[in-house]
Amino acid sequence: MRALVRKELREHRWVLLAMLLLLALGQTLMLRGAGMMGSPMAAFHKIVVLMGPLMALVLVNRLVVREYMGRTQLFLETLPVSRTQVLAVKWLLGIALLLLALAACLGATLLAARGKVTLTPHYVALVAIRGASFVFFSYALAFAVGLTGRYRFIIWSVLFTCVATAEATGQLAIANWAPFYLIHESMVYERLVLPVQAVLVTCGVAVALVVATCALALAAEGSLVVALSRRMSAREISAVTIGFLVMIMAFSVIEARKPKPPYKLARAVRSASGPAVAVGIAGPAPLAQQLADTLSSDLARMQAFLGLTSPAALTALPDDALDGDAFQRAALPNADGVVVRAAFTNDAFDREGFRAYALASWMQWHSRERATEEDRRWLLDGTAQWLVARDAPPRQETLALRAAFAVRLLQGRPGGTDKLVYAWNSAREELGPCLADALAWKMVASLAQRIGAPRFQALSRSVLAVRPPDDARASLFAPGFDGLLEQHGAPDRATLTRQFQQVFGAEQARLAATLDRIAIPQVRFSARRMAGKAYEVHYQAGPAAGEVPPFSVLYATLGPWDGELPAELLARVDGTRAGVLPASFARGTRLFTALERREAALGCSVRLAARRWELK
Amino acid sequence: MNAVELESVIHRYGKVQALDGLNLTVRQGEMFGFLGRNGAGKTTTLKLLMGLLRPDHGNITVLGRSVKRMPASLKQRIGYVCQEPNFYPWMTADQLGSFVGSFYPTWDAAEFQRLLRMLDVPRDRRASEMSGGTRTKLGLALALAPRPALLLLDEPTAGLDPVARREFNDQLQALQREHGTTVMFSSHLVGEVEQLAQRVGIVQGGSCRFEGEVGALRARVRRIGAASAVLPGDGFTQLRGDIWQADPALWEEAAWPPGAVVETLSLEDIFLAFARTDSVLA
Repeated sequence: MRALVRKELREHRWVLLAMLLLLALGQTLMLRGAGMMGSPMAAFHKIVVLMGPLMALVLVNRLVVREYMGRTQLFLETLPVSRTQVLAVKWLLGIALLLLALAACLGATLLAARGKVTLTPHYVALVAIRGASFVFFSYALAFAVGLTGRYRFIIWSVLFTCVATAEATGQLAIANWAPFYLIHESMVYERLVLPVQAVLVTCGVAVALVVATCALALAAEGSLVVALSRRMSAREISAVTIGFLVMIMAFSVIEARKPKPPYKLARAVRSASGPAVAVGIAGPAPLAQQLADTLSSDLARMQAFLGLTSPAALTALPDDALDGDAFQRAALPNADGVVVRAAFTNDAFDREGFRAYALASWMQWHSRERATEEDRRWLLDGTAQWLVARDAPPRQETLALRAAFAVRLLQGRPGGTDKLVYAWNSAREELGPCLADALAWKMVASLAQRIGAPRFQALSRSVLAVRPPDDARASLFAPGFDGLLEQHGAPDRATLTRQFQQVFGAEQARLAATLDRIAIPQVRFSARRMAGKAYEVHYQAGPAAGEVPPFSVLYATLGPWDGELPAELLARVDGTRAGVLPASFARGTRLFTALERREAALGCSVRLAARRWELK
Repeated sequence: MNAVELESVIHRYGKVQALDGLNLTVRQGEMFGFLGRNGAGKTTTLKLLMGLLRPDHGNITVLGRSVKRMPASLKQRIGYVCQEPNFYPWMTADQLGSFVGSFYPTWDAAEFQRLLRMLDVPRDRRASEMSGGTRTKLGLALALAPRPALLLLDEPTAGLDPVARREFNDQLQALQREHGTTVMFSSHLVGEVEQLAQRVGIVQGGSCRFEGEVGALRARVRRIGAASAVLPGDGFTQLRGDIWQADPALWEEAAWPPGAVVETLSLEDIFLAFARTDSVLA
């Protein structure tokens, strides 16, 4: 047995060393960043979550997969040592290394946390038991899957697909399943109670996996594992690839989705006739009733324009925390429908803006968010505004002024107005909802005028009124936006860009005098290094000293793959003079920052100096 | 006591019947050649003897002990060299010796070094950098260093060129004489078996068609060539075409008509005759 252990340690010493170095590096980095996480013990949580499964996979790959795929276990079997002994040595050596590494990390974390966190034996035991149970489960799973040889990648893929599907459909909360519950973020903050049931379930599953491992490894004199560890033939690879693709397709296409119940608001006034609209009561009931009827009328007109027969109910909720021109759509994890929120009783409530926002939200829901894809989002935003403003010349004039101001802002920035029909989301992020909606309205109105009402209506119907299937077919078979433009006799996007720019130029000339009266302050964001490696971000709108008109600073930290930033994710600071964001950031953090200022001439908040940047 | 005894051994791989009532005996101290075509059941038999497989039916005794549950102490007395040794590619010959030796209480490190020198195996070269022939020789050194009572060789020369094969066989003979080890080796190369083995077993279709000394086999089987058809009398059995078998005495006593030519055959001719028939020699 000792010879086997020595052999394994000698064979894998460089990989083990590299893994330990990686672990030490990870631990150091985590501990350095622990201040940002709220507790030094959070570093241990991150190590368990990230490095535990990774180390389990690497260890199993070295100890088991390599042995069987290299067929060297056949040599081992000719020696006077039983299969059971070989299996036991490998299994125990792997888990021992893993637990030792974990213990070392816990020890290092405790040293770092000494004096900053109250460390009691009970608390340390809680953290250690949770971490060790999860690592035990991870290793047992990795070991069992590792024995399946050439099918291990397929099994991992199937497992991940099942977990992702279960998570995505919302029917199963995987994060609450015992092994994952143990490593929930609260792991290092729970000081009193051990989740005994979760620990037992996790260890029970791990033991079951160990039993399965033994059965697999020892069945038929080990010939099953030997057969599984043979490399895939070309035919087998093809069959597996095709089978996997078919499985994913089938999952996506035939998956029975549990329909969610419609959203119901108990205390609300409802539209008297037409499409159902419920408005939550805030302020006088007649005003809510009036809003409900208006929204219902808007829905009916949109229904007629887009050729829809049964639009779903719309619910409007009052939210006094919002600005008058800020609107939000509520996420409904357990219900279906469209719920929008606004500050109805705010003096600055932008009623027309809210009506258009409600229509846009409804079209987003109806198209299963397909209408929000970047190539066509401007059409969605613009059409909603166009439907509300088409019989309201004053509203059209307001939108025209906002659009002209938006163009003036864009003209000084990289890409200018060239990117509008290609990268609408980034333009929208730069301009903010008010100016972006107005600009989209201008583009849509111009398009409608140029290609004529019937063609524009047909184009809108094909882009906004189609409700695609709720599965992969939506992506596979849905026509592209360029094709739809061509199909309905609209210019291609390059031509559209030129035509829009002509319209923008004319509008700039027409509204030049008004636009010149709107001052654009110099806005500046800068990062300054604090003590240690954290940074603070300073902002300034106008002169460095003294008060300026009220403004709001919006900011958010960005992940590597963050796309559109929903309004509710943006943190906000209101101010009237230069200041500092109430947060510190680590070096390398990616940030979105912008400054918004209410512009009386435009009747809404204008977003300035919006950008994504990295703290260096 | 016989070194190896197999009694009515049956082994199946799923639906494929590898051994079908195999009976075989290998005596202490002899070099036994196990002859058969590819797929005849030679490797399966040797794996059963090593305890790597378990028989579906029948009894197997190795060095006087049943191998139903192969204990490590019994395995320590058996040396095994397979067709393609799967050594750890990163280990050198010395490292392999050190690793394998730790499993055998009787391991003789000095003998291992001597065998490496004798077999011309470089000590510090990794297994992955060795030729197939050198790996086989290394396998032989590893198998012999613990001074086993029984050495099982599964087509050890299958991957060797003729020169290396001859060299290996010469050294094997020398070592067997020197150690007095019982050697059972399988091969489908008849000339090799004829050169090395004192006794042979011919296996075909999972059962033993002949077991005995090579000389006795050649005395039993002969070809009757004649200008006209000659039909031998009672006691003669036709193996294939003009090849017949009978008790050696009958061959001597038989009166052959003029023109008839009775000739003894090489082991290869006899093996080919067995390979194409279902006959069994008593």
